[in-house]
Amino acid sequence: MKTKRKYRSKIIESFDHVAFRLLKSKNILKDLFYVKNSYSQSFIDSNLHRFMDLGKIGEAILGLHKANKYSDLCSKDIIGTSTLKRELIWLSNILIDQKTVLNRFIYLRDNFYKSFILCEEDKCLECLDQIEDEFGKSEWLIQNRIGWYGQFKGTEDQKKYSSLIYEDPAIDDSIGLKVKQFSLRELTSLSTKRYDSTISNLTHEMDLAETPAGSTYLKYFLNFYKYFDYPYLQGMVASLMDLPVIDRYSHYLKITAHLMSCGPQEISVEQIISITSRVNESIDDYYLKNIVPDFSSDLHKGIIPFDHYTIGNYSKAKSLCEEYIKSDVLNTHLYETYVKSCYYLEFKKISFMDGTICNKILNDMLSILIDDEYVSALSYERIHKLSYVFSADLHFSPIIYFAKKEYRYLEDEQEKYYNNLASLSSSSLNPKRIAYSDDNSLHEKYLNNPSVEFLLTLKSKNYEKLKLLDIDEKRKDIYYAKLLYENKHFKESLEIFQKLSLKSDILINGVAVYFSIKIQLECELYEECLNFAGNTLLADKSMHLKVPITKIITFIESLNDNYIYRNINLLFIYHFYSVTIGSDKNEEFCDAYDEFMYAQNIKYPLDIESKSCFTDNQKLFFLKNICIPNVIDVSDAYRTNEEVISERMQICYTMIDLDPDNFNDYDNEITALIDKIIIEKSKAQITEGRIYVDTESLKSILAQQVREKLIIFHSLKKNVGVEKKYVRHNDKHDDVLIPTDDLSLLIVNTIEEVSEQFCINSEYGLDGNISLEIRHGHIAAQLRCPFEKGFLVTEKDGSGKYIKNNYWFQKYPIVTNSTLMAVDRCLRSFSKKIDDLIEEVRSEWLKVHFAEGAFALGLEENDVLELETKLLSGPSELDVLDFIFDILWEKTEFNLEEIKSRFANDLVLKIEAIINELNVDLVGAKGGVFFQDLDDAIQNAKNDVHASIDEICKWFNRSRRNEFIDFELILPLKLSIETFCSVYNFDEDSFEIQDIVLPKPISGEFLNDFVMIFMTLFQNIKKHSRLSPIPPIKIETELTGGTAIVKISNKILLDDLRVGESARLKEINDVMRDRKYYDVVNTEGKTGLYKVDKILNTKLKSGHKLSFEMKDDEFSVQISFALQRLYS
Amino acid sequence: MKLLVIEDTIEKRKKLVDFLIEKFPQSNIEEAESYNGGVEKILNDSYDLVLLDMSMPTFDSDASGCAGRMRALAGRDVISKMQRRNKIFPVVVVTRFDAFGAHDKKTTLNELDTYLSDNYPEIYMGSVFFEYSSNSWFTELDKILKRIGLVK
Repeated sequence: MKTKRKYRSKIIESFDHVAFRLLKSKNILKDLFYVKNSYSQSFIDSNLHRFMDLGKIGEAILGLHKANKYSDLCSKDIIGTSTLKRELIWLSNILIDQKTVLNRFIYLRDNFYKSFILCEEDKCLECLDQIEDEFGKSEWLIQNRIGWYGQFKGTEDQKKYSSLIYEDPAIDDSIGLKVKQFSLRELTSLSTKRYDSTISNLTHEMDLAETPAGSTYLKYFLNFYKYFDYPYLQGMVASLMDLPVIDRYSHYLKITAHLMSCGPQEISVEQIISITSRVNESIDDYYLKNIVPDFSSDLHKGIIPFDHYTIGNYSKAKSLCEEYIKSDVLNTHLYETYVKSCYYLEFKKISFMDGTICNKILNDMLSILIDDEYVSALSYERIHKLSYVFSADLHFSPIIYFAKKEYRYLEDEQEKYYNNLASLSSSSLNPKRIAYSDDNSLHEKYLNNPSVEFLLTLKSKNYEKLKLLDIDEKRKDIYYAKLLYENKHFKESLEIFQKLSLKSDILINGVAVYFSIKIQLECELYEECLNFAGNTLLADKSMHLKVPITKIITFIESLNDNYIYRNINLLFIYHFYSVTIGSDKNEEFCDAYDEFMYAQNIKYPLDIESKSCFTDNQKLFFLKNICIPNVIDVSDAYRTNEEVISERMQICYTMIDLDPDNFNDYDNEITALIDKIIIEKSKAQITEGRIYVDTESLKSILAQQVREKLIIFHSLKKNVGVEKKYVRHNDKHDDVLIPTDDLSLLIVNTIEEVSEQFCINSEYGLDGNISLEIRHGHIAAQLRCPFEKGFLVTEKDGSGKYIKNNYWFQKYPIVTNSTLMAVDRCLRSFSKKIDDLIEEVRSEWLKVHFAEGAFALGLEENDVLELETKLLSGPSELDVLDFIFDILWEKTEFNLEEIKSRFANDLVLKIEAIINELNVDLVGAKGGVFFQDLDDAIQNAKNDVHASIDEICKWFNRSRRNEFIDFELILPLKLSIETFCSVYNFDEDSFEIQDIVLPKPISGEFLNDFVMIFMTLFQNIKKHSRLSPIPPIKIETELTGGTAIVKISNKILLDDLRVGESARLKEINDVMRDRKYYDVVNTEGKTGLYKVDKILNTKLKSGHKLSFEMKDDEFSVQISFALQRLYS
Repeated sequence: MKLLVIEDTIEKRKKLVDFLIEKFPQSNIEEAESYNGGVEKILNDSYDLVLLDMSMPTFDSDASGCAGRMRALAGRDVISKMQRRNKIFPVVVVTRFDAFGAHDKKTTLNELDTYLSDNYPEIYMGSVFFEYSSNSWFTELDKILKRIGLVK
C-alpha cells in the first residue's frame, strides 16, 4: 500500500509572503504555529513585531490583550507548542513589542513590593489599584491582592476576596483552582508542610497519568520555591498566551532564572542569554540584567558591603547594608550579609527598620541562626510562608535560599539551584553574579574587590590561593576544607571538617558536620560515619537538621551487611529519622533493634547495662529513646502486649535512678503506660463483646410469673415419669419433637415466656441491647467508614436523594464537568446500594425474635427434660430463672457464631459485589480519564472493609461487663474518643478535655453504657455539625455535690438548612420528656439524643438529666450524672 | 509433613487449614494468629510449608483481648526475621489485600511480591490473593505448591 506523504512548501522567509498567507489563513493559529515552529530566529526577531501590527494576526499573536473581568482570564485556543527555545524566542518578541506597558508595570511592581515590605498599607493598595486600572485583571494582581489582604486585613477578608473569584461560575476552572490555592496558602492556620503536601497530591495524580504539562503547570504556579524539576516547560510557556502580558513577563523572568539555575537543559545558557539580551535592550529591569549579565550602568559601590563581610569587617558590612537596604528594601540579596554580620557581632535581636516586614524577615533570619530548634523552626515557617506572597516574582529568592540552607542542610544539587536563583534575583550588582558569569572581562574589572576575588578563587577550586586571601580566619578553614574536598583530598579535608564540627559557630559546624558525613560515605567509611553521626546527634539533638540522616540510612541499607547492625549508632540514626522525617522506616528500625540485640547477645533492653563497650550516654539514650514499646515489640522476648508495656515501665523506673534530672518525664510516661494498659484492656473488653442481657433486671420482671408456674408444677408433679406424647416442632435447623402433656406444656410455656423477655424486652433483653449497641448508628458507622474515609459515599438530603460528592469535583478541577457528573452518579448509586445493604443487615439479619431469625432460641426436648429435672429438686424461682438463662445463653452463643460466620462470608461477598459493580460503572463514566486517586480510594476501601467486618464480628460475643473494673470519667471519654477517631479518621487532638476526679470511681458495670453515651454524642456531632473538618470539640466536666456534669460543645454550620432547627430541638425535648422514644431509637437517621436519654434512664437507672441548647453557632449537650446510683 | 498457618482471621484460617488437610491429609498442621505467635513457632521449629498472612496484630490476643498494634506488613517482617535467623523453609503469602499500609506509604501486592522475590528467594515462594467470593486462590495456591514440588 502506498503511503501518502504531505509536503510543506519550501519555507520562504519573507515578511510579505508570510503576512499574505496569514491574512488569508482559515486557521490562523495553525499557521502561526508553523511560523513559530519552522522559521528562523532571525526572521521571528525581525518580523514578529511587524505581524503584531496586522489586525487579526496581531490579535492572534498577542493572545489576551486585557482582562476587564476575572472571567476574561480563561483558557482559549492557543498556538501549538513548539520547542522550549522557540517558545522563549516567540514570547521574548511579544514582550519587546509590549515594552512600554512592561516598563510602566515594572515601576509600579517595585513600588508595590517596596511599600509592602515597609508595611505602607495604603500606598501598597494604591499601587495595586493603579496596576489593575492600567493593565486590567491578571494573575499577578490576584496573587498580590490576596497577599495584601492576608497581610493587612486578615484571613476573613482575604478569604472573602478570594472566594468571590473562585466561586464565580463564570471563572475558568484552572484560574479557580489557582486562586483557591493562592488563598489557601495564605491561611495562618495552614502549615507550609500541609500546603506542600496538598500540591504534591494534586501533582502526583498528573504524574501518574503521565500528563507532564499539568503537573509542571501546578508545581510551577503554586509552589515555585518547592520544586526545581519542571518536565514540560515549553507547554507551559505556550499556554501563557491566555494570560495578560504582565503575567507573561513575570513568568518569563522566573522561567529564565529557573533555567539558568538548574544546570544543563534542552536550551543552553548561551541561548537564554542571547534571547534575553534583546529583551534587556527594550525593558529596564534588574532581573534581566542579572541574566544577561549587564552591569554597565551599575555603580561599583554595590559590592562594597560584600567586600567588608569577606574580610571580616562585620561592623562596616552591617552599616553599609543598612544604608543600601534603607535606600531600597528590595535589595534582598543584602539581607543575608546583613544578618550574618549581625550574627558575628553577636546581636540577639535586630531593631533596624522596626515595625516593617523587612525587620521581621531579618529577625527571622537571625533567629534561624541563633535560636533553639523550636524557635528557629517557627522563624523558618514564617519565612517559608512569606515566600508565597512574593512568589509572583523573584524578589524573595535570596531570602528563601538563606532560610533553606541555614535551617537544614541542602543536598548539593538543591544548594546549587537555590544559590544560583538567589544570585540571579538581586535588584543590584552582586559579587556572585559577577563570579558565576563566564565573562572574563567582568572578572578582571572587579578583581580588586575581595568578595569577587574570593568567589573566583572558590570557582577555580584553588585552595592554595585561598590560603593567601584576606578572609576572616574564622571562616577561611571551612572554605579551605571544601576546596580540598573538591580537589579530592578527602583525608585532609575530613580532618579539618571534623575539627570544625566541634566549634560552637553554627555557621561553621553545621556545614562541617554535613561534609564530614558526605566524605565518610563517599569513602565507604561506614562505621566511622555512623559513630560520627551518632556522637554528633547525642551531643546536640538539634544537629538532626544538619546530619543527612536519609542519606546515611540509604547507604547503610544498600550494604546488605549484617555486621553493621552491631553498631548502636545505627539505632540512633533510625530514631532521629523516625521522629524528624517520617514513619516509613519504622519496620527497618525495628529490624535494626532486633539485629542489634541478637548481635550483642542480649534479650532484654536493661541487659545493655552489662555491656562495657557502650558509653553511659549511649546506654541512656538507648533505653530512653530506642527501647519504646513500638520498637521492642518486634522481639521474640515478649509474648503479649502487656509484657511489652511492663518492660517499658521497668525501663522508666530504672531511668528514674539513672537520669534523675528527667524524673518528671519518666514519671509521666509511667502514668501514661498505666492508662494505656487500662484503656486497651477496657477497649478490648468492650469491642470484643457487645451482646448483653440484663438478666438481673429480667429476674425482677419474671420472678412472679415463675413463682406461679412453680406452684402449678407442684400440683402436676405426680405426672413426672408418665409416658409423654410428642408433637413435631419446627426448629430453625431441624424438626424436633416436643412433649404435649400438661406438665411438659407448663415447662415449655415457662421457657418460652422467659425466652420472650430474654429476647425482645426493649429495655433489658437482647433486642434492646442490640438496638442500642449495634443497630443504632454503630453498625452503619462501622460499615460505612471505609467508604467515608475514601470519599466514596455521601449522605441523603432532606428529600431522600444522595447529595453531590463535592470531594471529587474539588480533587479533579481539571476534569470536565460532564465526566465528573457521570462519576458522581456512579458514586451516588453506590452510596444507595451500600446503605440498602446496611439497612438489610440491620432490619433483617439482626432482627431479634425468640422464635425466628438469627436469634431464634429453638426449643429442644432436652431443654424440657433438663428443666423438669431441675424443678424436681425444689428450686426457688430465681434458681429456675438462672437455670433457664443458662440454657438461653448457650443457644444465643451458638447463634452468635452463626451470625459472625454470615458476616465474615455473606456480607463480605455482598459488599465485594457492590464494589465490583461500582468499578464496572465507573469504566464507562470516566470516559478514558485517569482517576488514580479514586481508583486507590476504592481499592483501599475494599481492603478496609474486611477489617471493619472483622471488628463487627468481635461485637457478637457475650459482653463481659460484669468483669469491668471501676473507673473514673476520663476512661470512657478516652475510650470513646479513641474509637470514634479510629472509625472516622479523626484527629484525637481535636478534643479538648477538662478532667475531674470523682469522689469514688463509678462501677465497672456501667463502663459500656458511658462509652455508648459519649460515642453517640460524638457521632451526633459528626452527623449534624455539617462542618468539614469538624472544629475542636470541647468537653468540660464539673463536680457539684453528688452530681458529675459533662458538657460537650461543638461548632455547627449556620446555614439555610438550620431553619426550623429550634422547632426540631423542641420536638426532641418533648419526645424525651414523655419517654416515647423506643421507636425512634430504632430508626436510623434520627438524633442520637433519644438513645442517650434512653441509656441514662434504663441502663444507668434514674436520676440523671440530659439537656441541650443551641447558641449562635455552638451546640452543647449537658449530662448530669447522679453519682450515688453509679457507685459499686 | 509439618505445616504452619499464620493468620489472624478465624474464618480465613479455617479455610486455609481445610485446604491443607485436603492436600496433605497426613500432615501435622499448626496454627498461629499473630506476627509474634508465628515468629515464636518458626524460631523454635522447622516446617515444610508456611502459609502466611501479610497484615496481622503483633501478638495473639491475651486474656483481655489485647493483641498489640496492627502491623500492615507483618508477613514481610516474619520473612525478614526468618532470613536473619537462617530459618530457611518455603513460605507462601496468602492475603486478602492487594495494597498495604497507609495512603502515603502504601505498598501494592505486586511491589511486595517483587521485593520479597528479590530479597528472600530461598524463602518466599509467591503470593496468593484470597477472596471469599471466589475459589481462584485455591487454584493459585495449588499452582505454587506444584511449582515448588510439594504437590504433584
